Amino acid sequence: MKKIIMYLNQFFGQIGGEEKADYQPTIHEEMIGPALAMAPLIKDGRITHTIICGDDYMNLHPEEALEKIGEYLDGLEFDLLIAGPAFLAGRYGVNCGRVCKYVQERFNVPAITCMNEENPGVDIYRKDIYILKGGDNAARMRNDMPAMARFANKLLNGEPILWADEEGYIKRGIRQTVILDKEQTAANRAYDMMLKKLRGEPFESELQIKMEERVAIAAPIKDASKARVAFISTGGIVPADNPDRIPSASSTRFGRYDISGMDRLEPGEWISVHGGYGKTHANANPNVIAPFDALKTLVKEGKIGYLHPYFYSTTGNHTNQREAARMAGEILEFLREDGIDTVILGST
Amino acid sequence: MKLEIGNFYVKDIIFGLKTGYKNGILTVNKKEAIDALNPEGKLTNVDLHVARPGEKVRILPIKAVVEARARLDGRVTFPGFTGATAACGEGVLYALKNMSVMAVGKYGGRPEGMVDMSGPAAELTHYADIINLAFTAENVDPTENRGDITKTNLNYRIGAHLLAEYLGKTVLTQEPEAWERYELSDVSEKKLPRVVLITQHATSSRNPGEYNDMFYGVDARYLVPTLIHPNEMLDGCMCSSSVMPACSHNCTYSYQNYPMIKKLYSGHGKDIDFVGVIINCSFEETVEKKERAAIRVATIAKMLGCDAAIFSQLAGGHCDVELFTTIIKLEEAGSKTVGMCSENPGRDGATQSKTMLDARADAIVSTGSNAQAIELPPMDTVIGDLNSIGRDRYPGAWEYDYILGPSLRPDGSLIVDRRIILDNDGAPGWSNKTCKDF
Amino acid sequence: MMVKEIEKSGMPIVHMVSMTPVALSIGSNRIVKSYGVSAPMCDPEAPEEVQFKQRYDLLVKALKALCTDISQQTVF
Repeated sequence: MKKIIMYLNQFFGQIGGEEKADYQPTIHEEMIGPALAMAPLIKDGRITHTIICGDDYMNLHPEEALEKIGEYLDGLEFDLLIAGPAFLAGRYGVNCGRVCKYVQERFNVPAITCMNEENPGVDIYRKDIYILKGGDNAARMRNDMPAMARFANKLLNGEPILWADEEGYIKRGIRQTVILDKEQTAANRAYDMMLKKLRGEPFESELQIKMEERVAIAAPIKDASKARVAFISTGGIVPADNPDRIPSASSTRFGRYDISGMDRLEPGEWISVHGGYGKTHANANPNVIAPFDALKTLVKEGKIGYLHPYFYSTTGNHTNQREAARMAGEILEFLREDGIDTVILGST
Repeated sequence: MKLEIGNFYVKDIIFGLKTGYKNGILTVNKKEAIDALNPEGKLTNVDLHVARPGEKVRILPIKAVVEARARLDGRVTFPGFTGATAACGEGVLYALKNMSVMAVGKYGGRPEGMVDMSGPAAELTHYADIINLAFTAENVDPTENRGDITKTNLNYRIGAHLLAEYLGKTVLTQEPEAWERYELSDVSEKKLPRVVLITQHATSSRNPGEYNDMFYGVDARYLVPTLIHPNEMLDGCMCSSSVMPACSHNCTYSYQNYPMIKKLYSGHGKDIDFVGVIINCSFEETVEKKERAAIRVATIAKMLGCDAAIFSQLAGGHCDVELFTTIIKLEEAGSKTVGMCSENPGRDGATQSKTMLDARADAIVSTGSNAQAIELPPMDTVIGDLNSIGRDRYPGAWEYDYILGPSLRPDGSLIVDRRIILDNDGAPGWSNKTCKDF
Repeated sequence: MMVKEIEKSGMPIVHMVSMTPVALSIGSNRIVKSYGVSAPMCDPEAPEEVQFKQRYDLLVKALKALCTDISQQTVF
């Protein structure tokens, strides 16, 4: 018989409404509120405890709240944690996500929740946990509960978890192969899709492409001869011994190399580790990827006001959006410290 | 232009005194077959093996796969490649179905591949569904006897095509068991939508030597998109390369049986008016040449009055730029386009699966991801050299990985990724795989 | 991808890249078309002095792009 813990906010935990949003976490060896409705839907498992925490308390004191919850769970035997459902309640949704992620990481036990796709908790936690697609208000509880139970039963039973649309959870940004029936060859599917497209009938592309987010155009710099410039490269140029172990693809780190004392990058001292292009030219003359010889000359001639003394380098192929954002943030901190106005980024 | 293919459905292959075909059994005289595939003695230690679906057999490194066929009129099966240049696409061709001829060596790497006839890898490739007559051999000239370079494998490739022809000739005196007939009959009065298929060919090698796909026996590297008759493809005008990672390797067998061509033919005169095939290079270094290729494809489609197009992509990476820019230009020229392609979302599935994306490509059929790792059990028999894994530079196998350990374990089991499985992508239309969001 | 993340912060950035369709597609705003993939800053077959001048001129173009006010994605 598997054991489940439920997490609820102060309202669903029947402590009180907004006035009790600062309620500190407690654990109860009983089923409270939605747990009572969930219990009969679980096969071969029972909900042993309910944890309740006020949405404001968790939101404003997340470390303390999670630590307390961690203490409660320490020593308890449990196979799954279910949080919510949170519908469109923003604080509740974020807190459910937070608790699930914490429990998964600390106790290595699956933790699931449910909320509406528009809930802010989704964007923050979708990649870390399973979030079942939920309704937009508490009246939808009677749809959300069976959905959560069905999925929970699969997890508890060790059944393979299928893709997001099939199981009803929110896409986590992972694409994997699925093998279809033998007759569903690509040729057959392409032919059928083509006919639908020709006839104006609805069809679904197997690779959904969102329009790329457009970023506001930054204002131009006024005068390059007065500008403080930095150069970043995604061409994978690193010192010959690759001290930061920059990988040939899917990079999650960048190197930061002092180029203040040199007039150019010397072949032999720098190599390319990029897996996406032929490296002969780059290794023979690293300046063809990271043109520091020309950059230094431009500084000497006064055409660039100031060149940042560090070279930021990574490999750009197959980078993950999340990692790219994180690396950019870290690099920007260094650049701001040095009063840099503008960046030149060289790709391949 | 009418092409008739007379089929013989092979049920088993055995070795015997005389090469012949009777009641579904193909008997092969080993010595004659070896002489046929190795006329100039450029290969040594040649032997033949049979691998059947369901057997616990692993075959690697595979360098070429060809379907055994011969022409009734005496023309060579692969004009320009195995003999004199001649037209393709018309006449009578006899084919041994449910089997292939495979060239297997000792040294692997890119583009060599692996096929498991049973186990988890079997459902990833259509080659596990047929009986494979594999010859193993080594090069006499040691230049390519190594696992750290991309090899032309020319002797293996020619050998596989010659053996395919030798076996095909065996049935020329018999009556085929069934026929496939291909003719682009005039259906213009039915006013059906006109459809063109665009195929992409392995032409990325600029090294001296014959690495790339061969079109009528000539390296296809500088091909500008060219309109051909689908029968030409089915009748041996295109012979395969030694360039792509195994998962994306379209062997000659794929060209001879191009599923997307056969599917479009099946709808000709009913749903569509299939007008032709545009063959396209896979790789152009400069943006200008990529632009030119996309413009040519769209212009040809417009000249043919196409209402729709299907783009069968070869592989990812550079090819993604071709895929998207061509789709955009085709749509602008009035052809509703469907793209058919594999994806590489990285081993964890979380990376963008194409190097370029454009939302104007709104109709994509995915043939699955080639990046996922897969654990494979040891096999009772290995045709080829199991030690090529870990030793040689296969995309998809490694000597040691921090998380997964060595690809080849002491007990013969493997942990590899799908790039090493021959035709895992199934781009010509074979693949019954897709990618879903998890 | 890093280009957009940096520009989000308000810092002007120019993307020097050979495959301009990719850069346009992912949303870089100021794009300078570079040489080839394996040597984007110059033509590696040209004599060394010519190569240096190519790198120099390409960077001058990049600086000009940074100084130019644009209203949509632009390839310089």
